[in-house]
Amino acid sequence: MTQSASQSKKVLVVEDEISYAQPLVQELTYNGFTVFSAQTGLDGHRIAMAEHPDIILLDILMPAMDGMSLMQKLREDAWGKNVPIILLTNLDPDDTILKGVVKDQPAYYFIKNEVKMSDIIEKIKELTHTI
Amino acid sequence: MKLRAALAYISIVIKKLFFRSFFYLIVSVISILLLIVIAFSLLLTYNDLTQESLTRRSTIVHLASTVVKERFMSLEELGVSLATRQRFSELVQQQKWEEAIPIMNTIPIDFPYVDRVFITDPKGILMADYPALPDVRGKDFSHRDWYKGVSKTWQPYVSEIYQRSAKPSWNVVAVAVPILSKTTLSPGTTEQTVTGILVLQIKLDTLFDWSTVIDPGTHAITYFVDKKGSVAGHPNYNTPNEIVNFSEHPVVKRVLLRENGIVQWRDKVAMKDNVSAYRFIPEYEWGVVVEQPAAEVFARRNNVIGILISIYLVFLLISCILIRILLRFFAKLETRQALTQKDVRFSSLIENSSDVIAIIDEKANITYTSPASSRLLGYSIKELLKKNGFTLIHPDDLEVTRKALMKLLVDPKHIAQARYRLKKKDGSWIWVEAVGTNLLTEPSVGGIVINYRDITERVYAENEIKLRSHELEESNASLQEAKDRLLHVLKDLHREKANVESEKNKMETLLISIGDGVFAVNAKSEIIMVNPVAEAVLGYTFTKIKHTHYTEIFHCYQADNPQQQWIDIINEVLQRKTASKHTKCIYKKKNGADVYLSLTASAIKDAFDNTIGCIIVFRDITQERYLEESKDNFFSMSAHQLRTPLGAMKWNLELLLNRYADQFSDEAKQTLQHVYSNNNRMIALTKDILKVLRIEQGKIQHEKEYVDIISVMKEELQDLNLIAQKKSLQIIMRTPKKQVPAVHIPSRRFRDVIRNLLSNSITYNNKPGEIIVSITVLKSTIRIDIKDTGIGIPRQDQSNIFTKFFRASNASVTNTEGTGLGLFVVQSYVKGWGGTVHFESAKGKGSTFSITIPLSKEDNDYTFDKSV
Repeated sequence: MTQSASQSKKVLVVEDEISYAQPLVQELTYNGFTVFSAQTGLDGHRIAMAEHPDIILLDILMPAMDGMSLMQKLREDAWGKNVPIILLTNLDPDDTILKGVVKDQPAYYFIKNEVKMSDIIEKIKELTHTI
Repeated sequence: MKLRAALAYISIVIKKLFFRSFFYLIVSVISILLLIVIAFSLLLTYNDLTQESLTRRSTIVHLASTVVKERFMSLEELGVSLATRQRFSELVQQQKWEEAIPIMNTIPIDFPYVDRVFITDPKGILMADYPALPDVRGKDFSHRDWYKGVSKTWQPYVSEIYQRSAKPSWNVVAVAVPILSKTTLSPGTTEQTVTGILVLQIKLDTLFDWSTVIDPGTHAITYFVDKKGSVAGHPNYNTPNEIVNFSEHPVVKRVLLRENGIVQWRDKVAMKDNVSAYRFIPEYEWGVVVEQPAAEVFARRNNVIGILISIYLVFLLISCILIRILLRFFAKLETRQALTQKDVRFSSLIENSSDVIAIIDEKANITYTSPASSRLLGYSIKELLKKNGFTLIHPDDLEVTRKALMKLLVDPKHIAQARYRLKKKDGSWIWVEAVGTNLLTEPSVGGIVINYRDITERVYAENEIKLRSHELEESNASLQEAKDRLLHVLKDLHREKANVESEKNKMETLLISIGDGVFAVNAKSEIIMVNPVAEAVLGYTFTKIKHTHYTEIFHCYQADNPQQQWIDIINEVLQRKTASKHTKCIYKKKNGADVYLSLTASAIKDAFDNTIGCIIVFRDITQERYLEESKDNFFSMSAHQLRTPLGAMKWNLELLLNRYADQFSDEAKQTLQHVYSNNNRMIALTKDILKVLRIEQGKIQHEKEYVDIISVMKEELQDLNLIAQKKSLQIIMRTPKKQVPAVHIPSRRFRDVIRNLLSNSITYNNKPGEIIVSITVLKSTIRIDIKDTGIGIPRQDQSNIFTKFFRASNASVTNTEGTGLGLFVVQSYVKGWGGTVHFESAKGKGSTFSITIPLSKEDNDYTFDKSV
């Protein structure tokens, strides 16, 4: 069920809400990923550049650089432009911000209160080829 | 104002009078013309028919004369043919009279109408006759007319009527023909000499037969007269041996003057008008007369004219009736118009009056009450109509009011006044002052009219004054005077109040007292009236904007789109596009403030249904709208705010249930499971509430794209497959054989609709059950039917099924988690893109929900290539 440590993939979770971040980190860890977490966009960027994670989970509304700006910045980077990003949000699917993002830059997104964590994990596994 | 009103009234009256007299003028001119035409045509027809009748008479007399002429001619020919027979003339020449008889007797035998034949010598002495009659042979007949006629020129001659001497001495007519013989005077020259005269005698009976050859018509007779006026062939004078002479007859006189013609004359003996056509035959100097009673001659003419006159009379009668009906109809129309205007005016006065007008029956049951009552008492009109008036009255005032009602019932002319307390819905009491009038016998009312007003404050004030004055009286007598003065003041107050009340009856005052804003414009769009409420809302006084074009001050914008100019309903009314219209709009005051108005514009019409202006009644709904918006915003914000904590709870609960399960007892795990599913429910609820709010605020953007219905439906079915399997549901999807065209609709909304309907069909299905999804392409729509075999919708719930938060009674039992918003969303979305939603259902027998999606023309060309 769990992945062996040597093969474990690196996941960066950028989420300011601790009540979301904590269960997600735990679940990811349980599923054998090496998890980095950041609570602001700035921290997220720094860690991403230093660790080059295999996938990034990104909240959209955050203090000190929001998820959108972070994603834009990452896409400008040579490594960053290909890293899979999953957007996590509580914005409504009809929200114009969200629509704009998904249209402009290829990214996956989940509505936080509609999705089960297990579904997110499934998607991460699929994108990091750990299945 | 008064002067203007008077002028307007006068102009209406003049118009009306003018219209009336104009109408009468037109009607009488048409009638006179019509009468002239009728008279003229009658005269024409009369003359034509008279002429025709006379012509007919002339034709008959002509025919009859032709017959007589032809008969006489044939008789002459008959005589000549015998007289010129060789043997016969030789015998006569040789005076062998007896031998000639066998030859001449062939005539009466072969031609029975010839009664007798005889021959005389040239001097007129009868020599032989057949059939032979006694005492005539050898007698000289040269005195006879026939002899005189034939001997004149020795040509065949038809005689007058005479009585023959041979017995029986009948009246006869003779045709005399000379018998000529050739005598050789000298060799080579011969001379014709008269050797005898052949005479054919014809009885008058025969002539009578001739007169009947031609049918002269009903009651008509034909007769002949000779040159002396003796009559032959007359049915009334057909005597065999008496000669009737008609020479004094007015018609025969004309004939004897050798005239032809037609004449109407009066038979003085029979007192009858006759028409006689007559003709003289110059060849034989005989005449023919055809006589018929004038009544018969003109029978056809008189009939036709009679029928025509009756038709015209009926026509005139009908016209008169029609005109009468038309006039009545106009009059009625006018009265009704006047009545309707009056009705509208009065009912609007009643509806908007701050006083309450109520109608009760003899037992004080309320049969009508004006809207002011619900403002005053807090009950709705419906609630009040179910009540008896006495149930609202304070127990202490019951006696007074009962007495007042009794008085009204006993004496219908009495006007009852009373003060009493009424119970409001919230239980408090108000004082009212009421005036009652008995209109039970008035058919349009049929009740007792009670008019009352709230005087609570006044009563309290009065009580206060009474109390105070009482105290003063008790404490200090010197204040008695002051109290009296106070009472005087009170009296003055009452008088003042009474004056004001009488003024209030005037319409203007009533308009002013209305709580709504009212202003009016004339046909030229100029402002002609503004009441104080309207002045306050609009921010102008009437004097300032009098006769201003309303568009100069009434700047309005659409209520839900403040950037757009409003749809000017005042103009629509003035342009007669509509008689009355309601709208909501934003009025921009001159200081820039926005006022939300609920506004009704109605046409002002004159007696001829011309729009002469527009009256605008409006209410300031800014406050209501602000409250509404705040409420919606609060809901929206709450729902948004709930999303984050609910989502976090979901994830944390998931973690607890999945990863820390072994740390909990079974009961704790079950509890956690409950918390988890309830949390999900709340998430669903907030999501639905946000959708509904968006629908209600009109914030739904229908961004359309081309949607492949079948693949969307298949995807949604796939997502729900697991739940369906758990309930052992069999899902059947029926798609049409031919390509389903793509439809141009908002794709995500369509998904929401399909998901809601499918998930209902699963949730409320029986286990095991069936779901049939079918797609039908119709001419201009695509229909999707989703049929389940579930619990169905009870009949009593069917009408509410699309209502927000409504859940069918059996649905709430089957599934406690529904929000009651799903079908509301479905209906709002489908209607939003022009489609329809229907359902058929019965409790326990499953439901079928059908939606239709309109196909626009280009949709038919747009299909998805399945190979891509």
